[in-house]
Amino acid sequence: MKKLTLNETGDRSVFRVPEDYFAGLEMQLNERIDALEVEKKLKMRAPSRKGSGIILTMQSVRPMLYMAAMFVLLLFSIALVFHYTAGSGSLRAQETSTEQTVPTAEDYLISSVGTYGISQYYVESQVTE
Amino acid sequence: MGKTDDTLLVEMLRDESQRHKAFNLLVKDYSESLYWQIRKMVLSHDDANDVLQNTFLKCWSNLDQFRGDSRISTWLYRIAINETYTFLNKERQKNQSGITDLEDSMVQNLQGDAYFDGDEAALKLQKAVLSLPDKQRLVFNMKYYNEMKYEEISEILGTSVGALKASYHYAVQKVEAYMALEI
Repeated sequence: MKKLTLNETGDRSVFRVPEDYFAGLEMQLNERIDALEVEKKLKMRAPSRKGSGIILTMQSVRPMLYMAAMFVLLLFSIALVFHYTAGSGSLRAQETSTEQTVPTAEDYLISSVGTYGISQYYVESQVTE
Repeated sequence: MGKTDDTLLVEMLRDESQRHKAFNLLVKDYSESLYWQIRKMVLSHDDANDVLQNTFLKCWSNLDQFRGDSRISTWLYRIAINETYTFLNKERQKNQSGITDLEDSMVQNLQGDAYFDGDEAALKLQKAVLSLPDKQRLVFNMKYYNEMKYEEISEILGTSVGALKASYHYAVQKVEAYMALEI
């Protein structure tokens, strides 16, 4: 059991590096920088590929999707308005037509027997008289 | 061989034809000091190597953004510190599901590290320093290990000299209190 103070820790260089580490570092970094430059040039030549392309497409398609949705909604609401206004219009038309054409006995006879049947009836009744 | 003059280095870095050469000079001049700054924070050599390489790669990618308002060394230190924080935060996130926290696993890794020659006392000091919050640990490392001036640290971290002095004072107190514990 012993107590230590900061001054007692003595030597501050307790860490080491592999042999020739700093000499080799420059070369390692140059290799990585060359790779970085090649990557940069490739990116400049083909700005949107695979992953980024998908993001770009989605981004460009999104407003079009919104527009399409708005258009469908507009069409649907127009269709609804037409449906209701046209429906009530035909009802009104039916109502007015029933008001104007109240069937008479003559109309009934014409529609059920026909004009030919009526004329034959008249001819026959005149012949029997 | 001394460090390349800052003005000359900036001029060379801005010239596309001399950029590679200037960058190699930058690596030669600053790789060691940056490495040790990073190493004291991440402890393992492999992690320090990764963070250092990322620092220089980020520096290369952002050379156009360096306007020369600050010294190149300050700019490099800032990038290195940001990269170190990013690394430590990522490691903490990875460690969230584990039983031990990041600091414990760092100490465990250090014990088996082939590039750590510390004895029992040195290991205890590392444990004590690891018990500090990241920023305080950074200030402690810069002052205690790198023996940097407060003015220099202030320029890099953007913290006032007074605040840095207070931070270092508290850090030393905490480390000494930890060291005074019986082992």
